[in-house]
Amino acid sequence: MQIRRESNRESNKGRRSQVWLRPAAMALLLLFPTHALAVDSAFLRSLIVPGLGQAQQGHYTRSAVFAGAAVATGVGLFISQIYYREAANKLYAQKHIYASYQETLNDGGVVSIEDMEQTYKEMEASHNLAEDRLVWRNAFLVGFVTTYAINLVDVLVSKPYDPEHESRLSVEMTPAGVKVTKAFRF
Amino acid sequence: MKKLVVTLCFVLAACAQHGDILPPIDVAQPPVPTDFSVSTADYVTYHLSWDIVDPSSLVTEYRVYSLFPGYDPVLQGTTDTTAVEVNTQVQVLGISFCVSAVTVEHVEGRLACASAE
Repeated sequence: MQIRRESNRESNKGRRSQVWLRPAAMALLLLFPTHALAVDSAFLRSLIVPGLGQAQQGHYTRSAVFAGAAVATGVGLFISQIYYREAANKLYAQKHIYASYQETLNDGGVVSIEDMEQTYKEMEASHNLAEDRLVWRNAFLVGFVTTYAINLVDVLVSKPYDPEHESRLSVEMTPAGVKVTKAFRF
Repeated sequence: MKKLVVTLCFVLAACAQHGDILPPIDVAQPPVPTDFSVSTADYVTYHLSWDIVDPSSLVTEYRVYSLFPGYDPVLQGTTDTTAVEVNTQVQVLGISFCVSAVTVEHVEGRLACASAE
């Protein structure tokens, strides 16, 4: 009896957790065209590595562009973050020294005005450096996030590459002359 | 989308924690001793004397330093007068002396330096 009640409770819990899935699935179907569901594997790949989904779909140029942009912005973000932290740590240390002058004065100790002015100048310089490096860090962060987001949207909206529909080199005779057409895939 | 932007803003704010610079400590600029002179007859005993532009500017004491080229000044002692005698025990050549004023706020001013004439 106890076991049955437990199992009923479990199944009710499972049903409750599935209730929100239906509108979510409907919303997904409305948001993305049906062919998007067929490329879920490509979406997952692009979710893990930008450009990988495009490669699976056969869009190699786009794949290289997204992968390259993601690597460039990712490396830039990593390096700019290291430089920013370095400047921020330097600023923190100088703030600590400057605050210690006030503590020394409060405790009746003697502080040199030259030391105070020198530390203040260094603190200002470090602050400006940290602000500059923060701008670079944020620029790379925005670039990385944007690349990643566009990569995901692209893999969702684009169809897998179909070689049957590829526009090949065509030569056409027209009254004006010979017309040569070549379509490039991107 | 709005949640994503808000989250991104929080992430950016969390990663940017260097804050602002501290406000400058509000103290009066101590005066610099003027007409500082060092004289010696035997390079053992040095007579130091100086003046202060505004003697009533809340200067409580003066700090006297010895200085060798290429080294930081070494504190020899403090005095509340504007003349002092320093005995080096042995003959010392190439030595300079510096003096600074300390205010009631315990702030030490800039050094005035001179070598033996």
